[in-house]
Amino acid sequence: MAYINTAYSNGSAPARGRHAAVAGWAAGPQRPTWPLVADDFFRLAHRDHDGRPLLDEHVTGLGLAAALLAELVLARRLALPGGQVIIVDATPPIDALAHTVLDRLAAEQAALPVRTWLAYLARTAQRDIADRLTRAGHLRQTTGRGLFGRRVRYVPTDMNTAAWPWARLSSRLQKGQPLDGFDTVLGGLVLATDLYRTVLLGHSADLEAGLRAAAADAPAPVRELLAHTEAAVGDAIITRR
Amino acid sequence: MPAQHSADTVSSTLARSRLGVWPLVFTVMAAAAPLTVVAGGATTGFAVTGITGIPIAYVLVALLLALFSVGYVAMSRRVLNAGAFYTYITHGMGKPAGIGAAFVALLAYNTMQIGLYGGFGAVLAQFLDTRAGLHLPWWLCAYAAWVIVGLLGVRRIDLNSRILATLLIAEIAVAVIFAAVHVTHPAPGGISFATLAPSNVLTAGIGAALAVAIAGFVGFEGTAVFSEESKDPHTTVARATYLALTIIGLLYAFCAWAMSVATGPAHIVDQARAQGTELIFTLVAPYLGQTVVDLGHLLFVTSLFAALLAFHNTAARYFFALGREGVLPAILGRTSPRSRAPLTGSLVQTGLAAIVLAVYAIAGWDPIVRLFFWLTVLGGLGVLVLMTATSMAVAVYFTAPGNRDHLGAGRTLLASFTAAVGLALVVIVTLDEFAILLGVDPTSSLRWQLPATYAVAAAAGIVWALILKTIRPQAYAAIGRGANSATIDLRPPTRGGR
Repeated sequence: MAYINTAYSNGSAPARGRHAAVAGWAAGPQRPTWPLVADDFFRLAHRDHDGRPLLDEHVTGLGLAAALLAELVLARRLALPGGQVIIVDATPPIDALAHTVLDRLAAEQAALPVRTWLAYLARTAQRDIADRLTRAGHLRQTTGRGLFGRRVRYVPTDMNTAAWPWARLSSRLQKGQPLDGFDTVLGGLVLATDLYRTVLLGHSADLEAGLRAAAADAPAPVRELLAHTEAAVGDAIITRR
Repeated sequence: MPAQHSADTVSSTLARSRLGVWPLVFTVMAAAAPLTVVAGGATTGFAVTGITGIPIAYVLVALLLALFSVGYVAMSRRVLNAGAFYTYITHGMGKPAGIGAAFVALLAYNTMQIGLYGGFGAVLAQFLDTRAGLHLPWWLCAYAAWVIVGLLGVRRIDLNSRILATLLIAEIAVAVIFAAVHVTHPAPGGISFATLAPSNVLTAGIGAALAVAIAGFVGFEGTAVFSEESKDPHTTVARATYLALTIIGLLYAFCAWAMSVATGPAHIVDQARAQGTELIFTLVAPYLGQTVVDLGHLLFVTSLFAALLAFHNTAARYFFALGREGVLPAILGRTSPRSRAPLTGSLVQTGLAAIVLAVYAIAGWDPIVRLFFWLTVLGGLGVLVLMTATSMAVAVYFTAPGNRDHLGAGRTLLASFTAAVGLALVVIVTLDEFAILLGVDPTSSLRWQLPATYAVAAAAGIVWALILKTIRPQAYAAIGRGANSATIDLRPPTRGGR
């Protein structure tokens, strides 16, 4: 795997790609940034140089769906008491996709469980987020010829940007630096989807422990979301659908 | 009301991608493997046990399992978990009992799966020998299947559901056609219903016949695993369970009876002993073309293969769920990220099968009687014990009026209690007649050694649960939640969006 990029290991973001600065728990609607967790999860779940998937399609969908909910949780739009998704702030998000997702959630009169929304959002999450990344110029759509006809694939336009989430997570964990709210969610999703053994290649045991510790210290709604994601992935493996 | 409308949209959108009744029926019937049971299980059952009442045993077992299913299906509406048996036992009888049951299930499904290799190897070897002139040892054919099952398991490639459905329908069609030929060409003396007579129940050896029958049904219990993945958990699982039971129950009883008509009830045991798994084919060969008989053989082989894969996946899933819960080493909870396969669980199952096959090949034991029949019947006994414990657990669970809610005591308490008593009786007679079931000397120590493995597994599970309580209280607290170990697992009694 060509994860060549460790140039940004000091934690500074490259100028291109991370169009939202790292959002702490304090990120509020007044800051013109949006925590694009789903973008970074998409990057982690695909190979940086050719966009090949590293994770099962169904599990990728669940992880991306969870990441979309996580964006709204980080931006303090949602609360997840007892596994139910509740909107606490209906202020329209500045990101178009997040706006659509929040609208979809708001259209339900009764609160639905996290698991229901994960399953619902997972159906289209991969396409939605690929579109968002394509619009932002991070992905380019190519049509490859596969064994069973044509296959649309999204190839990163810049390998360094694509490898950045992996490089950032690994280097922080290696140095024992604390993860911020954004990276805690991202790392938690990597754990919940079993992607960590691919992402944290080589020294996974130590890094996994660090990641688990960080995820265990996360605020309640994040832990709730991660637990439901892990359960959804586990059930997807058991029922194999 | 637009909001009401969109609430319907979320659940109906999700329902569209979920399992309906028929796909669920086909999924579980692949594990039950109709042609394997009719051509392999029933004939070997006649031969080994020497009992003519096998057909009525299939009817009795189908009825008993229908009773069992009433409580089982009711439970699947309450407890949201893909672990089924041991989850329910945990809820009804506590965590140590749940882990005991999980260990019994691991042993039973692995035994069942490995036993099927004997059938596959022997049947394929014989077919290649007679039709292609290839003299291959049975274990080579078994290992060929082992390689493919191992690869498919690790890569999480399931047989395509359409292929599976097509094969199943073809299997059933062949079994019914063969049975029709049997019935229309009875032995001298005409059509006899002796093997279906209820009086068989009172004969010695009925326990052995019931155990043979139970082994044929194993796999149908898989419906509850998919309760969350079904279109409507309130009706889909129930309908699929009863449909699968009815189809396979009628099919087994009819086909086994038809064979006894063709040979005459007095000769079915001798004929089965002389011809083994070939009996069903040799009885129709004079009346049907060679092509149909060949097709029957091929479907017999594919049926065995589908069952091998289905039970491999079941065993791997059990390893995975227990690894995920922290009951067994966490490495068993590992998946293959790229393929969503329970990687370690699958590899462990494959490894176990390799060892047992090697032992049989080196010792030169008979693949049909000692591997296929003994181990699948032993696996069936394990599942029978689990079903008995599950019925008791369901009855205990529904004793609490809060758990019953609107389901009614008849459907929950009464049915599961009656099923528990009935199944327990079957366990007792089966154990009493285990020597007949194995076809060994009545004083052979195998008659208690083989069933005792389950007692050991259950005891080991209970002890391990108590150890976990002290050394890893967190893992102990999560017991019975399977993949959901991180979250609450009770389905709210109201109709949610799921």
